[in-house]
Amino acid sequence: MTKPTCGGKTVKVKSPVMQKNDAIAERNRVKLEGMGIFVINLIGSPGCGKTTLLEAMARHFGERMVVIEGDLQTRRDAERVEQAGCKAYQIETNGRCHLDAQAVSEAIEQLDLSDGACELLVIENVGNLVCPSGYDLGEHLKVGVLSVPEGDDKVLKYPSLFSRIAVFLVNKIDLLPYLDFDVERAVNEGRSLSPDVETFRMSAKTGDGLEPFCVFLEARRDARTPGA
Amino acid sequence: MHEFSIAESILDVIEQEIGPATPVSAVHLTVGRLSGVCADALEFCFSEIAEQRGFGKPELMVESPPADVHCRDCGADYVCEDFYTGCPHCQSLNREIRSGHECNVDWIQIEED
Repeated sequence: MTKPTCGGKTVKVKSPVMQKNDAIAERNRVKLEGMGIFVINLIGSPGCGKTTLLEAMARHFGERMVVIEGDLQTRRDAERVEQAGCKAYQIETNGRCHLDAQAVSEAIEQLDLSDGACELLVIENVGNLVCPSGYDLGEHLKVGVLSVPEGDDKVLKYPSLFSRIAVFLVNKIDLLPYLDFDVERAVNEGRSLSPDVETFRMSAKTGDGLEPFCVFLEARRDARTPGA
Repeated sequence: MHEFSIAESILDVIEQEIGPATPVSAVHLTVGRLSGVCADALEFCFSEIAEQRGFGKPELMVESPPADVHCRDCGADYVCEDFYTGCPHCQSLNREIRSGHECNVDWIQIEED
């Protein structure tokens, strides 16, 4: 490592730049885990179908699921999810390109989760394949969504996200007959960046492939928060 | 442009270590090759915010070591510069990344009075 040159007092630090965010994220995780709540951080491009997926999941999980929505502006996504049947809280970042653990901590305070109904908290991040990937929010799983119209070449183009996710969803598979998207290529390239990634193919719009994903989340929740 | 937020986080670390508004001459960072942090953009944001927050005009020195990786197919330990290069022995991409995502402040040099 480069050493300090001349003059001035040098303070050795060796601190992770994200230590403040990571400490708050860990606090979020411990708090929610104590309430028996499993948390996922949903990341994907604008328009990849994140909110449509949440609407479908809201119909499956009902009051057992609560959503935190992250967007630059408007309450549109929270309203959609509420109409589909679950509680939602909207964070408007006012231009910030990602959510951080502090914003999620404040949202958790605002949401009343004390009735014990919530088993699954889904945080829908700001639509973006780059910036959200480096911020731990207190989730148990990072889920990356790639939709068929975006193209099967996007996985390797956005390695900071696809190398960090535990679950890879290929969405809008109902459009496969009309577009040149090679699902095997996307999945294989996803595994080259994250060898243990779990993959699901679905159409959140038609509901095709949704059930296995929901079953998987329930199993992960039961394993993570036993007896809750 | 999350480099702006990262620059703010670096200054939070500095403030915690040496107190607020203390002029600094240099800061050394280790930014792993797989961290996704763009050093050029970070330097630009950092110098702007450092001055606004009263830390003077510190030089940001960034070192980007290659990632330490363990091959899960042949067991070799190797270093790599990017996400796409497989194991030099068996070409496999089935691997455990042991470092490369890090972004750490290593040392801070305070300006002489």
